[in-house]
Amino acid sequence: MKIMVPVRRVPNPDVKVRLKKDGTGIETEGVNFLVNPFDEYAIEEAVRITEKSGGEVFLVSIGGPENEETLRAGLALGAHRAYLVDLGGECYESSGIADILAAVFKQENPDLVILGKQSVDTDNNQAAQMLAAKLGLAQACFAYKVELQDGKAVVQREIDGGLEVKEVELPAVITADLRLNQPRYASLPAIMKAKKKEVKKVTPADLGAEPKNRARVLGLSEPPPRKAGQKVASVDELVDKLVNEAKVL
Amino acid sequence: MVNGLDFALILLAVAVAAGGIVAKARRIALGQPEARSGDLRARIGGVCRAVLRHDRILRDQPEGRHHLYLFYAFVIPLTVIVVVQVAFALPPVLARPLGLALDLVAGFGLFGTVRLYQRRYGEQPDRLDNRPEDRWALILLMAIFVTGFLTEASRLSLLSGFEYLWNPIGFALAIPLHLLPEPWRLVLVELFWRLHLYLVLFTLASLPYGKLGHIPFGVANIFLRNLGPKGAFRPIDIETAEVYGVGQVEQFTRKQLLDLEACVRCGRCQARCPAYNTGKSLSPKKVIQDLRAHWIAKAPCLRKGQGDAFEQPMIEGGGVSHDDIWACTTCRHCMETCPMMIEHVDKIVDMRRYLVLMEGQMPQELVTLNKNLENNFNPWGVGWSARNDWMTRRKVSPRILTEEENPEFEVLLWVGCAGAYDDRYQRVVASVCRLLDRAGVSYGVLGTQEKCCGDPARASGNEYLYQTLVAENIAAMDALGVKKILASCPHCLKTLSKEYPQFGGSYEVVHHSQFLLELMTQGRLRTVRDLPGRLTFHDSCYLSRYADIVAEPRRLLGSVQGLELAEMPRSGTENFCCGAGGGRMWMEEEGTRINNVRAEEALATGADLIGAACPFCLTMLTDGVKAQKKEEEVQVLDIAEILERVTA
Repeated sequence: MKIMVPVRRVPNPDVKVRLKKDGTGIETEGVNFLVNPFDEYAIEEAVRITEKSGGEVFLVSIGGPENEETLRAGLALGAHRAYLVDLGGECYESSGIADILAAVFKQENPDLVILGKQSVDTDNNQAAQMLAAKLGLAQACFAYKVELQDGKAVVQREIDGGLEVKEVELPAVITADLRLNQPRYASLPAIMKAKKKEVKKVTPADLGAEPKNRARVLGLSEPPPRKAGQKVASVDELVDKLVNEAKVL
Repeated sequence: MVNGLDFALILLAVAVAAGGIVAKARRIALGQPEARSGDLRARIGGVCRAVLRHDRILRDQPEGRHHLYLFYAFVIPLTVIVVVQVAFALPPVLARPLGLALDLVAGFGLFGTVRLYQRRYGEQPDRLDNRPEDRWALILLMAIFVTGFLTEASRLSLLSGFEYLWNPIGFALAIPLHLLPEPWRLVLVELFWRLHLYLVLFTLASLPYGKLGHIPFGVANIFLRNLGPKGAFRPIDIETAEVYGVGQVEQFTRKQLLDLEACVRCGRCQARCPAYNTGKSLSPKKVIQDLRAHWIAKAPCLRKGQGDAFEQPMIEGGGVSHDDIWACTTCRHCMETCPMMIEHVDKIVDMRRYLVLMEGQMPQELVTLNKNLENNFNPWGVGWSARNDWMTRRKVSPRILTEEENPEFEVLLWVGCAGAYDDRYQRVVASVCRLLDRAGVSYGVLGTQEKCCGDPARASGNEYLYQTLVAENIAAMDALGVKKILASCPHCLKTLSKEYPQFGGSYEVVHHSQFLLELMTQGRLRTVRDLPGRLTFHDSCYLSRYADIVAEPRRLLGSVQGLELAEMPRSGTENFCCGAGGGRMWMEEEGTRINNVRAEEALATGADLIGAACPFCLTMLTDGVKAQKKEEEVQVLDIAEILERVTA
């Protein structure tokens, strides 16, 4: 089985985001970047499948040369090879990203695509669904458990108030939720080996992709600073404030 | 007295003993080479302290005393006998007191041996496990003493007169022998003397093979003990090493294998181990014995170069388990107490290294810990950019040093991850800051350039991550020309002072207990207020056993008027761990919790204040006090907080 895992390079989610002065994006100076945590679950799941029943896992990361670091981290978790799609400084929204992923898919014809349910930077949660649509593939998002049977995947997915079990024909697009598995910690030999694994550097043009942005970010702004809280002496005072000041009761 | 046959037997005994030592040395040689050269005088001095002065053995009484009796009851008569062979006739003025001394020494020896036997088989303390070799060794020793006395008695029975009262035990035993006809007595002399000699020769021959193997191998082990900074783990050369850590017994160094040979199963380690004493599977003694059994079983395969053919794994193969390996708090009590100077913690860390670096296997909490350290350079995983937030929160403003703005400063205050992120320890470091301000010390901090010192990574086996953090911290400090560091966390203290030099970072590092004491003695800080109360001080393992800092915090606390110090039964270098070292701070603990046991001990002193000097101890003891529902009556404070309250 050949599995494609797109991985996203995201700013460290634990670090406070600072906006560029013109509000067009976030300040990346002095920020460390990580593999999108949801994508780690996707890599783990793909690697477990190939460890069990053979095959290979290839990663795809879209961005700049710095994405090689992201890919090496993913390769250390057990993926076999990777594509680095260099955008040459261009930026794409989910739809454009899906265009590029679809082009990689057409070159490689994998049996399965697994990716994180969303990236933790922009939280769009769209690329996977758009990719499935562009390729005309079945999709099963927010997977909690994945079982492969010949030509099919049975996916348990978390929905509000319970689980849904879904059968999809392969190839299909599956997105990983955080309860899908427990990603491994890369061993040092695996990290060393990952340094030597193939990372194929391509441009969208090399792939024959013509990514298009169908949406555009107009601006970003910080949330208003939180006001200091108040201490109240008694329940009565609290009720009084809720009724008269906050007017929520 | 000694005839040709005896000489032949002596030679045979020596040959058999030498053969055993060579055979075991060859088994030890299956390990990896390790340089343990260095100061010969220090090595010999250490052996003398351990053997002649029995300094570690005497820590446990009365058995330590009994061992000392038995030891000298062998050494002194044996020396005298050898000397007498050379210079025969001693003048009576020397011979008589010597005879008395030998009698007494041997008497004490027999007494000691009998008491050891009684302890092992009568009292049966938990720390001793009995094997046939223990019984036989003790019986053999008793038999040697008894036959020695009988030889003397039968010899004295041939003489008359009271000058032999100089040999009181022999004299007393000779009295009944006088009832026998003289030819019988002559036979008895020969019989007892032969028996005595053969038993001694048998002991000599069997020296390397059984229980008494601790004599040759223990002495060798003490001689080859680590003379480097106490507690510094061996660095791994990440670039060149083929295996990281130890997953196969032959990956241990020869010195580490000698450790296994030297263990005499006295169980002093186990009796002090915080994990064992709270019902965990880990016992340092058992780890050593399990590794030894595995090594002996695997050795034949290894000698044939077929180590792979031996199927039983060293870890989780019926001996050492994952639970054992992860239960260790690295409190170093086993190592500091072992009379053979066995290095338990280093082996456990080596096995952790193998599990983490080679297999990526560790408890899930440690995966989180490692990722937190990788991504945010602190164990809690709070964003690294928030590392300075504590300053505004605690209303202190230490100078943040940067390469651009780098004025002269006396000392670098190492804030530490707990100081920066832990709500409770932020207050302690803020107290340290205010004390430094009060004393007029010029100091700075690294700010967001400071990263975890690496202690949790290294102690939990992630040497790779550890070395990354160390390199970044050293680069930051060297760029600022840091010479002296003040650390308020004993774990940072240990790694900065003892381990950073392994990677080229050499600084003078002091703990705040030392630095504040210095400020007090210099008069830069003065106590101006009393603090009435009863306080018990809990030593951090990383202060007491790793850094020999025991007196400083007590002297500081002793200078506080009105404060009465009450020691716990286990204090100073014999302190009981809080349970948080070795990465355990970030792991769940099953069963009886170490910190609760320690908090109970602290509360039993009747103290209304518990003093600590380590962020982990502070957290663990606070939790322990809460578990006893005593948090209303008993406060847990760092010594810096106490000092801030009473000084100006």
